[in-house]
Amino acid sequence: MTTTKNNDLIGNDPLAWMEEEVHGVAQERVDKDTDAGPDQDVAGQEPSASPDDADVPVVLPAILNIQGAARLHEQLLAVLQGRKQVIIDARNVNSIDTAALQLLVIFRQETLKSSLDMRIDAPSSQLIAAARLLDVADLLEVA
Amino acid sequence: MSIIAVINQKGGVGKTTTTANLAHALARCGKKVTVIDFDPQGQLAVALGVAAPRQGIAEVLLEGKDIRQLLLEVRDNLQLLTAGCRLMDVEQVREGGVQRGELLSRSLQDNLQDQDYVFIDCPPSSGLLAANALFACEEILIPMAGDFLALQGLSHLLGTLRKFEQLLQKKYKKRLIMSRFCSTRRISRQVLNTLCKHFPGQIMPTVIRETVLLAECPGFGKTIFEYRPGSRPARDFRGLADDFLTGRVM
Repeated sequence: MTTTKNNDLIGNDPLAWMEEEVHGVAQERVDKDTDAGPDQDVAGQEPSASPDDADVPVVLPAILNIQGAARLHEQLLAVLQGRKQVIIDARNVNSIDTAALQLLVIFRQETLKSSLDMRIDAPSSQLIAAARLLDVADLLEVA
Repeated sequence: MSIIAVINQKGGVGKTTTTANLAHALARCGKKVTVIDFDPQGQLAVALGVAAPRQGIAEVLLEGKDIRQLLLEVRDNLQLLTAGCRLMDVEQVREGGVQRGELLSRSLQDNLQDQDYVFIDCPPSSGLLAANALFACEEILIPMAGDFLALQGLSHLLGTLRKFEQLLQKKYKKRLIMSRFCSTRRISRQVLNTLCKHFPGQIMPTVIRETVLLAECPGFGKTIFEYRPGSRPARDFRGLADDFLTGRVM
């Protein structure tokens, strides 16, 4: 979770996605030379893998929150098509809220049901901390 | 005429208190102001001294009643449209597709052109009533309380506003009001700092400080200017009205 250095009574800043959206993602767009439109939101970046790229990991964006949960859901469903293995690269995640975490848990449960191999690679410390806090770290295998 | 939604999906942040007292402050400055009680609880009407249920915006939206015949002159320059008896039914409207969201907007058209400001006191929810308010307004006032959950609620509200801005292809003018501010609490100050960081140039500089007087005056159907005209919260709301009129922000 993103914490605010100067505001020690505000454990995590629910508005952090606004600032990181403006700065972090803009830079990320330049770096990756994506053709994302200006209205695309933080958690709404296209996954780096298409359904055809069987072993290419899905790279999660830096901010995972309720504003982008619906789009992330669509993205995860899309990469499921025709795959036997889904690798999620979570190294960039520096803020995640309960809605996004819940989505990952449901996705994990669905892959277990359908015998798909799903793996979260390089989970960031923020994701691990949030998963532990909500007692889903074992399920997500990020403990 | 400017149509302004006073909105925050979180309850208890001071929407109705802000609407009643800011509207009255502006009316006392000579502005023609209409307030619409768009919360089925109908507490804006109570705060302005109209306690008995009567027809209002619900009947305008659901039955096509003439909005001008239902307006109540509650103070000099200040008129009120009550919630009406069936406002909750609007949330249940299932027919009409996207036009369900335009009921209020169409009702206001051509009816309140003589007014300087129309304030919509929104319910603490994100259903069809809030959607109607967002269709109708061009400006948004967001009262914020000085606690963490208010920040969380604001994050959700911004997500909702973003969807509407994309859908309607418009950009709302947004201003935040720090209400229920307790200067002796560190959490209040830190919430204000957090808002200043994320919303530079969008926060009204006069904060409304928490006081028991603002909790008492609705019980007498009075605004703070009638209940305790010389009090600190009365000064706060006069300052807020001045910020509003001059466009002062921090």
